Amino acid sequence: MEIKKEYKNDELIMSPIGRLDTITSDDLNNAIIEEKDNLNSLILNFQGVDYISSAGLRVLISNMKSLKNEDKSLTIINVNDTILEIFKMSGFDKILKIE
Amino acid sequence: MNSLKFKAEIENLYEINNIILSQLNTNNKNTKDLELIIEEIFVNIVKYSNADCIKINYSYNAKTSIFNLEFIDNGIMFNPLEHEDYSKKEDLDSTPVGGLGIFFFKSLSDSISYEYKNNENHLFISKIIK
Repeated sequence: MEIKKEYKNDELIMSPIGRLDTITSDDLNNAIIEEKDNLNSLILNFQGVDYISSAGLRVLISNMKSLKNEDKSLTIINVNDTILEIFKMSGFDKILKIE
Repeated sequence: MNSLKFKAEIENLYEINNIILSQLNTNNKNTKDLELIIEEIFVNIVKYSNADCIKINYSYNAKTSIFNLEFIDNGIMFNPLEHEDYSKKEDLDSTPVGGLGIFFFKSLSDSISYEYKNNENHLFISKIIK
Protein backbone atom coordinates (compact mmCIF):
# COMPACT_ATOMS: atom_id res chain seq x y z
CA MET A 1 0.00 0.00 0.00
CA GLU A 2 1.19 3.52 -0.72
CA ILE A 3 1.91 5.50 2.46
CA LYS A 4 2.93 9.14 2.37
CA LYS A 5 4.94 10.50 5.29
CA GLU A 6 5.45 14.07 6.35
CA TYR A 7 7.31 15.21 9.46
CA LYS A 8 6.61 18.46 11.30
CA ASN A 9 9.30 18.45 13.97
CA ASP A 10 8.52 15.32 16.02
CA GLU A 11 4.97 14.97 14.69
CA LEU A 12 4.58 12.54 11.81
CA ILE A 13 1.58 12.68 9.47
CA MET A 14 1.21 9.33 7.78
CA SER A 15 -1.28 9.09 4.90
CA PRO A 16 -2.08 5.55 3.77
CA ILE A 17 -3.82 5.30 0.40
CA GLY A 18 -6.33 2.58 -0.48
CA ARG A 19 -7.65 -0.37 1.46
CA LEU A 20 -6.62 -1.31 4.97
CA ASP A 21 -7.33 -5.03 4.87
CA THR A 22 -5.71 -8.39 5.58
CA ILE A 23 -3.33 -8.04 2.65
CA THR A 24 -2.28 -4.40 3.12
CA SER A 25 -2.44 -3.78 6.87
CA ASP A 26 1.07 -5.18 7.47
CA ASP A 27 2.41 -2.37 5.26
CA LEU A 28 0.96 0.25 7.59
CA ASN A 29 2.07 -1.67 10.66
CA ASN A 30 5.64 -1.93 9.39
CA ALA A 31 5.70 1.76 8.43
CA ILE A 32 4.61 2.78 11.93
CA ILE A 33 7.12 0.45 13.61
CA GLU A 34 9.85 1.83 11.37
CA GLU A 35 9.13 5.41 12.41
CA LYS A 36 7.93 5.20 15.98
CA ASP A 37 11.31 5.87 17.58
CA ASN A 38 11.55 9.10 15.58
CA LEU A 39 8.23 10.63 16.56
CA ASN A 40 6.37 11.92 19.56
CA SER A 41 2.99 12.22 17.91
CA LEU A 42 1.55 10.19 15.05
CA ILE A 43 -1.30 11.51 12.90
CA LEU A 44 -2.91 8.97 10.58
CA ASN A 45 -4.61 10.83 7.75
CA PHE A 46 -7.38 8.53 6.51
CA GLN A 47 -8.48 10.78 3.65
CA GLY A 48 -7.32 8.18 1.13
CA VAL A 49 -8.55 5.10 3.01
CA ASP A 50 -11.83 3.75 1.64
CA TYR A 51 -12.11 0.36 3.36
CA ILE A 52 -11.05 -1.17 6.65
CA SER A 53 -11.41 -4.70 8.01
CA SER A 54 -10.57 -6.26 11.37
CA ALA A 55 -6.94 -6.62 10.23
CA GLY A 56 -6.69 -2.85 9.84
CA LEU A 57 -8.33 -2.24 13.20
CA ARG A 58 -5.86 -4.59 14.87
CA VAL A 59 -2.98 -2.52 13.49
CA LEU A 60 -4.55 0.67 14.87
CA ILE A 61 -5.26 -0.71 18.33
CA SER A 62 -1.93 -2.50 18.77
CA ASN A 63 0.06 0.56 17.71
CA MET A 64 -2.06 2.85 19.85
CA LYS A 65 -1.25 0.63 22.83
CA SER A 66 2.47 0.55 22.14
CA LEU A 67 2.67 4.30 21.50
CA LYS A 68 0.70 5.02 24.66
CA ASN A 69 3.16 2.91 26.63
CA GLU A 70 5.87 5.27 25.42
CA ASP A 71 3.79 8.38 26.25
CA LYS A 72 3.25 9.08 22.57
CA SER A 73 -0.05 9.84 20.87
CA LEU A 74 -1.89 8.48 17.87
CA THR A 75 -4.67 10.52 16.24
CA ILE A 76 -6.74 9.56 13.21
CA ILE A 77 -8.08 12.34 11.00
CA ASN A 78 -10.33 12.63 7.92
CA VAL A 79 -12.26 9.42 8.54
CA ASN A 80 -15.06 8.80 6.03
CA ASP A 81 -18.57 7.74 7.08
CA THR A 82 -18.16 4.09 6.07
CA ILE A 83 -15.06 3.66 8.19
CA LEU A 84 -16.50 5.69 11.05
CA GLU A 85 -19.41 3.26 11.12
CA ILE A 86 -16.97 0.35 11.46
CA PHE A 87 -15.24 2.20 14.31
CA LYS A 88 -18.61 2.69 16.01
CA MET A 89 -19.68 -0.92 15.48
CA SER A 90 -16.53 -2.17 17.20
CA GLY A 91 -16.57 0.52 19.89
CA PHE A 92 -13.25 1.85 18.63
CA ASP A 93 -14.74 5.32 18.23
CA LYS A 94 -14.59 5.53 22.05
CA ILE A 95 -11.03 4.26 22.26
CA LEU A 96 -9.21 5.75 19.30
CA LYS A 97 -8.55 9.46 19.13
CA ILE A 98 -10.49 10.53 16.05
CA GLU A 99 -10.65 14.12 14.85
CA MET B 1 -26.25 -20.88 -7.72
CA ASN B 2 -22.65 -20.08 -8.66
CA SER B 3 -19.62 -21.86 -7.24
CA LEU B 4 -15.98 -20.99 -6.70
CA LYS B 5 -13.17 -23.16 -5.45
CA PHE B 6 -9.87 -21.67 -4.36
CA LYS B 7 -6.79 -22.79 -2.48
CA ALA B 8 -6.92 -21.55 1.10
CA GLU B 9 -4.39 -18.78 0.51
CA ILE B 10 -4.77 -15.12 1.52
CA GLU B 11 -3.60 -13.89 -1.90
CA ASN B 12 -6.87 -15.18 -3.40
CA LEU B 13 -8.98 -12.73 -1.39
CA TYR B 14 -9.24 -9.97 -4.01
CA GLU B 15 -10.11 -12.34 -6.85
CA ILE B 16 -12.83 -13.99 -4.77
CA ASN B 17 -14.29 -10.64 -3.78
CA ASN B 18 -14.18 -9.34 -7.36
CA ILE B 19 -15.96 -12.40 -8.75
CA ILE B 20 -18.68 -12.48 -6.10
CA LEU B 21 -19.33 -8.74 -6.00
CA SER B 22 -19.57 -8.60 -9.80
CA GLN B 23 -23.03 -10.15 -9.30
CA LEU B 24 -24.16 -6.78 -8.03
CA ASN B 25 -24.35 -3.66 -10.14
CA THR B 26 -24.39 -1.40 -7.14
CA ASN B 27 -21.71 -0.01 -4.90
CA ASN B 28 -23.81 0.99 -1.92
CA LYS B 29 -23.14 0.45 1.77
CA ASN B 30 -24.55 -3.08 1.75
CA THR B 31 -22.07 -4.04 -0.95
CA LYS B 32 -19.25 -2.80 1.27
CA ASP B 33 -20.70 -4.81 4.13
CA LEU B 34 -20.79 -7.90 1.93
CA GLU B 35 -17.15 -7.32 0.97
CA LEU B 36 -16.23 -7.15 4.65
CA ILE B 37 -18.23 -10.31 5.45
CA ILE B 38 -16.43 -12.23 2.69
CA GLU B 39 -12.99 -11.04 3.82
CA GLU B 40 -13.54 -11.86 7.48
CA ILE B 41 -14.90 -15.36 6.82
CA PHE B 42 -12.32 -16.23 4.16
CA VAL B 43 -9.40 -14.99 6.25
CA ASN B 44 -10.65 -16.77 9.34
CA ILE B 45 -10.75 -20.07 7.45
CA VAL B 46 -7.32 -19.53 5.86
CA LYS B 47 -5.63 -18.57 9.12
CA TYR B 48 -7.16 -21.01 11.58
CA SER B 49 -8.79 -24.01 9.89
CA ASN B 50 -5.84 -25.75 8.17
CA ALA B 51 -8.15 -26.29 5.19
CA ASP B 52 -6.58 -26.99 1.78
CA CYS B 53 -9.36 -25.45 -0.26
CA ILE B 54 -12.38 -23.27 0.23
CA LYS B 55 -15.51 -23.66 -1.84
CA ILE B 56 -17.98 -20.79 -2.00
CA ASN B 57 -21.51 -21.12 -3.33
CA TYR B 58 -23.28 -17.83 -3.93
CA SER B 59 -26.40 -16.41 -5.50
CA TYR B 60 -28.27 -13.15 -5.63
CA ASN B 61 -32.02 -12.92 -5.95
CA ALA B 62 -32.87 -9.50 -7.36
CA LYS B 63 -36.56 -9.90 -6.50
CA THR B 64 -35.93 -10.46 -2.80
CA SER B 65 -32.65 -8.48 -2.74
CA ILE B 66 -31.09 -11.33 -0.78
CA PHE B 67 -27.51 -12.40 -1.36
CA ASN B 68 -26.78 -15.94 -0.18
CA LEU B 69 -23.30 -17.28 0.52
CA GLU B 70 -22.15 -20.71 1.61
CA PHE B 71 -18.53 -21.22 2.66
CA ILE B 72 -17.37 -24.85 2.68
CA ASP B 73 -13.98 -25.94 3.97
CA ASN B 74 -12.38 -29.24 4.96
CA GLY B 75 -10.49 -27.79 7.92
CA ILE B 76 -10.98 -28.41 11.61
CA MET B 77 -14.55 -28.26 12.85
CA PHE B 78 -15.38 -24.71 13.89
CA ASN B 79 -18.81 -23.25 14.54
CA PRO B 80 -18.48 -19.47 14.71
CA LEU B 81 -21.96 -19.20 16.20
CA GLU B 82 -20.62 -20.86 19.35
CA HIS B 83 -17.64 -18.53 19.49
CA GLU B 84 -17.75 -16.09 22.38
CA ASP B 85 -18.74 -12.67 21.11
CA TYR B 86 -16.26 -9.83 21.06
CA SER B 87 -17.18 -7.45 23.84
CA LYS B 88 -16.72 -3.73 23.39
CA LYS B 89 -14.56 -2.02 25.95
CA GLU B 90 -14.49 1.59 27.00
CA ASP B 91 -10.76 1.82 27.52
CA LEU B 92 -7.70 1.02 25.46
CA ASP B 93 -5.92 -1.29 27.90
CA SER B 94 -8.75 -3.81 28.16
CA THR B 95 -9.63 -3.77 24.45
CA PRO B 96 -8.75 -7.15 22.95
CA VAL B 97 -6.81 -7.26 19.70
CA GLY B 98 -8.48 -10.48 18.48
CA GLY B 99 -12.05 -11.63 17.88
CA LEU B 100 -13.11 -8.72 15.71
CA GLY B 101 -13.37 -10.64 12.44
CA ILE B 102 -16.05 -13.03 13.68
CA PHE B 103 -17.83 -10.16 15.40
CA PHE B 104 -17.97 -8.22 12.12
CA PHE B 105 -19.40 -10.93 9.92
CA LYS B 106 -21.93 -11.92 12.59
CA SER B 107 -23.00 -8.30 13.07
CA LEU B 108 -23.24 -7.46 9.37
CA SER B 109 -25.09 -10.59 8.21
CA ASP B 110 -28.88 -10.77 8.21
CA SER B 111 -28.89 -14.50 8.91
CA ILE B 112 -26.23 -17.11 9.67
CA SER B 113 -26.35 -20.85 10.11
CA TYR B 114 -23.70 -23.51 10.44
CA GLU B 115 -23.52 -27.21 9.76
CA TYR B 116 -20.72 -29.79 9.94
CA LYS B 117 -21.24 -32.64 7.50
CA ASN B 118 -19.06 -34.98 5.43
CA ASN B 119 -16.04 -33.72 7.39
CA GLU B 120 -16.63 -30.18 6.16
CA ASN B 121 -17.64 -26.90 7.73
CA HIS B 122 -20.64 -25.30 6.00
CA LEU B 123 -21.32 -21.69 6.89
CA PHE B 124 -24.44 -20.11 5.39
CA ILE B 125 -24.85 -16.34 5.27
CA SER B 126 -27.66 -14.15 3.96
CA LYS B 127 -27.35 -10.44 3.40
CA ILE B 128 -30.09 -8.13 2.22
CA ILE B 129 -28.75 -5.77 -0.44
CA LYS B 130 -31.00 -2.73 -0.37
